[in-house]
Amino acid sequence: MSDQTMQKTPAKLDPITLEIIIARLQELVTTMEHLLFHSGYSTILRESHDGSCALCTPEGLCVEGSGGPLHLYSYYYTVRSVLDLYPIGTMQDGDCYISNDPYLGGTLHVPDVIIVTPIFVGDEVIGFSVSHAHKPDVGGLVPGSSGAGSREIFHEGLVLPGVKFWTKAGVISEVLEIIKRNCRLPEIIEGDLRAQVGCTAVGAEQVRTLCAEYGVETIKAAFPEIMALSERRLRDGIAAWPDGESEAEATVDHDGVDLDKPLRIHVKVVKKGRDITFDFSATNDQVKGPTNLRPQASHVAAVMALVTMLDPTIPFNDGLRRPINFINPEGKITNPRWPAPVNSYFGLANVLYNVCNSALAKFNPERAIAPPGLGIGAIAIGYDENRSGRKAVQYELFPVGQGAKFEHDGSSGTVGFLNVTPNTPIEVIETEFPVRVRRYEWVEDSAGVGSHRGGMGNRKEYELLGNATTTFRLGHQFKYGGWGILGGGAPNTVRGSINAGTDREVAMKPLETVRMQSGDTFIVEMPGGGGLGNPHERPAADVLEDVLNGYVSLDAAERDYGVAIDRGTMTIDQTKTASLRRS
Amino acid sequence: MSGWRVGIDIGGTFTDVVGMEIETGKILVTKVPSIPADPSRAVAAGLESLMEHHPQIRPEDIDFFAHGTTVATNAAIEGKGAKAGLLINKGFRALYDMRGGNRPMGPDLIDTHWNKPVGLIPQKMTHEIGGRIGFDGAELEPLDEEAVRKGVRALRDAGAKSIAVCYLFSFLNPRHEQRTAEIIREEHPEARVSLSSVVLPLIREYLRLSTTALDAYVGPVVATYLRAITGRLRDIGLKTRRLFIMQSSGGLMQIDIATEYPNQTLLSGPAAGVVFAAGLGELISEPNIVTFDVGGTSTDISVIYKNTYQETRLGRIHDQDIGTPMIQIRALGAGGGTIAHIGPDGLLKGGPQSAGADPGPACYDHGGENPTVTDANIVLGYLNPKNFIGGRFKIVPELAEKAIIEKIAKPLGLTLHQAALGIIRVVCTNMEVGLRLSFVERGLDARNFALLAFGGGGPVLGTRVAKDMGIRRVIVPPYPGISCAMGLLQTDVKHYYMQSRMISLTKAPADELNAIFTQLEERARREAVQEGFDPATIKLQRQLDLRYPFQGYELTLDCQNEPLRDTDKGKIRADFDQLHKEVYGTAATGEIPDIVNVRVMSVAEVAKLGLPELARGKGNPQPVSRRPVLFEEREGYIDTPIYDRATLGAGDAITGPAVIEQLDSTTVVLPGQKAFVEKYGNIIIEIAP
Repeated sequence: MSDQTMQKTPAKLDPITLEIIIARLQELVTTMEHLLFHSGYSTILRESHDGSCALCTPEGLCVEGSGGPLHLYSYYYTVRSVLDLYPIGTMQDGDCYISNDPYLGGTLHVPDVIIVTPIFVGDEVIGFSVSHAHKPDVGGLVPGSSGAGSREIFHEGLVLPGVKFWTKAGVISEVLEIIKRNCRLPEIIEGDLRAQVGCTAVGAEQVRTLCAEYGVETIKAAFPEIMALSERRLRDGIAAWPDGESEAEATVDHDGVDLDKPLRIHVKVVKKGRDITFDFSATNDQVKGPTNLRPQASHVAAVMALVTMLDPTIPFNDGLRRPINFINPEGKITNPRWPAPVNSYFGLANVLYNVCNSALAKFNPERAIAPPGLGIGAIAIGYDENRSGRKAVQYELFPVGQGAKFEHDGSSGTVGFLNVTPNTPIEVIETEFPVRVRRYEWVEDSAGVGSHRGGMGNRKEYELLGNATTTFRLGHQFKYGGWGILGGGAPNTVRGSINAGTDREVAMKPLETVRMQSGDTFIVEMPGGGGLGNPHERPAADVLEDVLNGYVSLDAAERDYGVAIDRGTMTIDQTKTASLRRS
Repeated sequence: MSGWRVGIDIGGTFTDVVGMEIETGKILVTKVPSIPADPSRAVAAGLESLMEHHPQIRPEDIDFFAHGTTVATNAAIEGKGAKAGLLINKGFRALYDMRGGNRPMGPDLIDTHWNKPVGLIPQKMTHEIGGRIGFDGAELEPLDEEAVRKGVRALRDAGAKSIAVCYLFSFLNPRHEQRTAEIIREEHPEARVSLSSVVLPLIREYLRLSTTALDAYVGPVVATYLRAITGRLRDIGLKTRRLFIMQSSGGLMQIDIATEYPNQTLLSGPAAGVVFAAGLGELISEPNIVTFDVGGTSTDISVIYKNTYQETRLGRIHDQDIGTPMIQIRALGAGGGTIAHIGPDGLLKGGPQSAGADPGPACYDHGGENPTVTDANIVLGYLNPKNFIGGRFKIVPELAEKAIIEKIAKPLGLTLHQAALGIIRVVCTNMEVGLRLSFVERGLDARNFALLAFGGGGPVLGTRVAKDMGIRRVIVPPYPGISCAMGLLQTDVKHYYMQSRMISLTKAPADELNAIFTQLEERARREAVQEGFDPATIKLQRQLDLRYPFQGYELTLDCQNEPLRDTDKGKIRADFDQLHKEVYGTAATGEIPDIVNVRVMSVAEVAKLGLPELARGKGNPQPVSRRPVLFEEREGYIDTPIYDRATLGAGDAITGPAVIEQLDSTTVVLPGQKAFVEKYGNIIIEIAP
């Protein structure tokens, strides 16, 4: 932009300039993320896209981020922790810092590694360029680092508390060598970190370009205004809701240690004026097993539920945090004391997100949605040797079914609160790891029934072709699962078995690390989404279509939906259907 | 008697026809209305119109015919493809439904109310088949032929006109798919068959499957259309067998062969515009060009670097994922009909909604009440309301003003003129973001590029966009509105042949690589003969897809065409490191790259359309009129000279502000910018940084 007058008036940016700067910043983080995924080495990064990029202010506030808001708090707490160790005046152009510390920093668990790069414009740091990527291994008890046996954070891998990792001259080899010596996949970790550093450098360069075009004062002035816009939209949305209170809760099987102790996940939401409070006081105390949620995980679950319930088009940045208060006492499962383990936070964060969603639906019934399959999960298969004789970790995220909504069935095969389908291609898995995938299919009748049904649950079966240590983290919803709303039904719960159909068959537990031999097989069944509304009100033609597509069985069509289908002609028996639906 | 080449491109509104006399290079141009219900009729009408206006062209004189079509794209967009079935490995029926790797953008990513795009073949039309190939291509379990027969019969009874087959690892070992095709021909001979090992023989089953499903879905429609075209051309009296269709990858393919590869025609139309740009760049020595093709509802952008356009293998057509090589074309939902509005955050937004052709911009007076880019262009004086498409179209400027005042200016507390400038600013910014993303994906610097503005709207906004982006030069070709049709006559006949082979570069035996290259080249020569070319004259380029061992995305590297020796591998490695550094900013120079695919590109060059030189002008052209025009750079409307492009000659120079009008477009030259007409009639506008 060449308009001189605008460069001189940074105080209040006009709506056109601001829109343009926002578009440029979105472009910037999208570019960073593209480079990260396409140059990364691990399958968790390049195939499952478990990473993100952001731009933060010199105080660590997130102005713009790629992907969803899942890492919103992670960026802030991590940049703060770097600043605690390295005051901004000591930083040099070309420096990068590394952190994966869930306590001093802000990662959700230890395998998430964040790179923080100061953005210098002249001698001034005007912000930070940040990348976030889940590593397939950072050491610890088991391959993948997130083990069932973890009882302290020390069991979960090498913790890096925001130390300097890179300078203008290149990587600080002492730090890199410590990292490589402490994880099972040194070459892959090094490649992923190189991709992370590379994309933050490109991001910093693009911010400098932007400053050259618009003036550094204009860009700096834009940061708080961008955050204020999101804050205002969120507050306006909250203000439009009636004042009041709402509570919701769900139960999780256990923490992987005390197997007979179900966990209570509870939230009370208090909405008053333009503010909202999430109160986790009645939720479970912190647990021995690795299912604790640091505040960066528990708070972001509430923020994501609030934004999706209000308006998912509100750009996410630190402005979203301001209207929200938390009552989250230390010692709760949502705010554990150091050094509690946290590696399997994801399943509980998903449950908490849906509990918040349920509570918020009272304020905005039109956006009510049934929960997705609760029990989102991951597996990490640590092979003693891959085909080239090295250690290898196959880390995969498993999708579930989305919940039903008023106008549509739930989508099938998504993460639930992020609409990605994080499938590593079967051909990539079998090429890189000694394993065979035997099936990947929908589970019939797994979706919660309703006038709109949930998305489908899925079943995946593997046969190992090498010896391995495998950790299953399947979301702790084998016993307690999702639910339907407004007359809709609950979906299936998570299920798994090892060596099914043989005399060595054992049922899987929600959280366990198992030593397996070549030839062993396992099956995992992930849940569908909850249903919405009375299933008898679902058009019979849609039920028939579901039967023909293999989503719903003939029996369930009749039993749950009141639709009788002639098994010879595969057409609707209208008379019988009418009578079933009358009763 | 003299030979002619004819190119016909079908657009949403018009079908454009370009004829070129081979001996003289003379160009003739005509337009007829498009006929969406039967596009082949418009092709025939266009050809007849050309010959009617220019009786010296007789059907038997036409020696070469090239066509750009949106038939496949429209079938996908409008849901009018064939009823198709799918055969897949036992246990994997949900693979297509699951759509692994499909990922929404923006707010959809977290919107729990988002709906996953639905595929083209439902599970009820999907049958599982026993048999399995392993990761190394070995057969683990034989094909269950009885299951194939049963599945095909069931699909036949369910009315399938087309059958897609996708088995795991068929890209390494296609025997199960090939045997399945034989059985389909026995059981359901009328069905069209799409094998994934033919459509896209590459690793990653979902993308291969989705592409194969798309091929099966549009295949019968494309085949029927191409047969209709061939029939109509024969009826008109064409004798030549050199009938070609544009591929998404920017090469021509014989119509008969195209019926076998319908998935390769999905970007047939826009690809021609990019080829035109690359050809023009060569003609006028501009090796680095970004195309800026602005239509009514969308803008197509493509980056040409060192005379070469980039291809992508991760495309999406109307929510359907496709891995077929296509020219990297970024389609933005921003054009003349794009609607300006105020977003929920109180800021001015441009699009993505469009007023389309009906009701169209407010100034069309067809009932549109929303302000569009065209309305802003009218208010600002960029477009001439009295001479819109040569005066064939009535424009009511007051309606443009009313829409902008009521919907934008009043709510934001702006004047009409501030609001109109704001609309252009915001829409241009959206276009610039798309342009910039196209550059950064390749790590290229916009300042080293010229912007080629075409389509009806490109030359109106091109100078503004270029100025904002630091692009130093804008080129407006002689006929901006028919560039795609011209591109068809500048296109070589081009094919890609590839074979997956995953192995470390240093471990790959040179003999084996040479054998694969030779095999692919033999196939290329065979197909060249079928297309009427002398196999000795086609150009073949050997290529390798390479990546570092743990990476998942490969880069294509041209390599030597002479037989490879082990001693040549050092250079390949160094070239790859360099390419990786250009794209991603870093290189792992200590690592030995892996080969993923071995490829051969074949090009049969055809005599190309060249632009004739334009007669010289007097150097100082006279405006035909003047009108007030508003520019962001100046306070208030400026009395601006208006030129008629038809009166401009080579060497003529104009200093902005100026507006240059012609039938199919309008060029806006901003204050201080210098425009001149070069010898082929292109307007070159220098943009001061």
